[in-house]
Amino acid sequence: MSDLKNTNTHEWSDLHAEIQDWLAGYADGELDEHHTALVEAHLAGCKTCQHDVERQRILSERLQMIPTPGLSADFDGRLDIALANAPAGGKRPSGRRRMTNLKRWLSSLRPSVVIGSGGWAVALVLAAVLLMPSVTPDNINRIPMVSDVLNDYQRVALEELPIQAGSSEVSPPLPWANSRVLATWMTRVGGRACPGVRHTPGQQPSVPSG
Amino acid sequence: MRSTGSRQQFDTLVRPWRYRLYGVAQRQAPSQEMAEDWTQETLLRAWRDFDQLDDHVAAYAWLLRILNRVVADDYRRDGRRQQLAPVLTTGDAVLNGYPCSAPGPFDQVLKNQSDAQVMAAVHALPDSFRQVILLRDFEELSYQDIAQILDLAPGTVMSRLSRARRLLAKRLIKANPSALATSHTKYTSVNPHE
Repeated sequence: MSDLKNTNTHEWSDLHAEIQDWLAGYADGELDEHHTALVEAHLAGCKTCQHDVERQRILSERLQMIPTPGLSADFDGRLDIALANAPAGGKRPSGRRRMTNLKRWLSSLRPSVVIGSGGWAVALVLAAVLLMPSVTPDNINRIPMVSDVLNDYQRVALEELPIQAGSSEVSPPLPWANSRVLATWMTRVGGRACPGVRHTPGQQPSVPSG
Repeated sequence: MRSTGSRQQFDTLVRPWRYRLYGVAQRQAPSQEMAEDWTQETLLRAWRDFDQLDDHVAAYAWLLRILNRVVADDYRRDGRRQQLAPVLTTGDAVLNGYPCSAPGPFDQVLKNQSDAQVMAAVHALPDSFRQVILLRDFEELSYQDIAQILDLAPGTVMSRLSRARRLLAKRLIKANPSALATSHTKYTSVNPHE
């Protein structure tokens, strides 16, 4: 019994919410017969909706009493001129309109937005003045990382890499068949100076037997 | 280029509606200058698209449809944000503080306010609400015509109108000089915790 009562209350509540959107249609006589009957059945038991219908009628009547604003003869004449000059199917001159839009846009700017934008613009200009000279194309070789690498490369090539010697000064320890000596240099092995040899691959070195 | 006959036909169909078209624009626009801009733009677009007018009987609805697009374009260009349209129920406390069996307190509220005050309240409504109020309560168009002009379903026109009138009624009540005192008395006298 209690469940049935809850269900009925719930359904009534849904209908009440839905019918509220139909009340203008009922007040204006725009509902069809079926919906009119539904609304009238609901209104019979709902005081707030009855008041809403009455309120909508009174309000609508009040709004209809407000006179329509007049069209001035001057503006009427300007409309005639604008239409007479308008090409059919083409673009029309809209100089005054553009000026009006510009004026409206300027007047619609808020002071806080203008101040904020101005502050950011000044900050960006300062940042550009301070930072831009160091990244211009003329100074590209001054970028620390590139110049450091170039200096290191040149220093290592001059000071740390072994000095190459001519192939005539150092002879390979063993003659390799079909090989060719590319470079020789002096190095240290176990604290003793000895020659290094770089050669093209060839056959096994011919080690004399016995 | 269109013929002179076509121009005459356009004038015959459109000129009688200029006055009312300007009225609708003026009631929506924040200034007279903008209302004039909208009206002129609407008539120029109407002339440009005159070939598209099939039903000459519905010339006014066609003009209002163009005006609606002109206004929407203008707002979009200005980046104006849509105002939220709140939903009031018939059980709203402020509304029910002013019963409306005519002549009653709500009727008195409306009589106390000048046309300019009522128009200011209409103008302050969210766009979607103001449009339906203007087209129905001022222009007295059918829901079907309003639906075509605004590209809405007739049921949406009806629900918006119901909600718009409810919101307008509440704002007019609140703007009424005696409203605050009356509602204050009412709320303090029915405190269940006392």
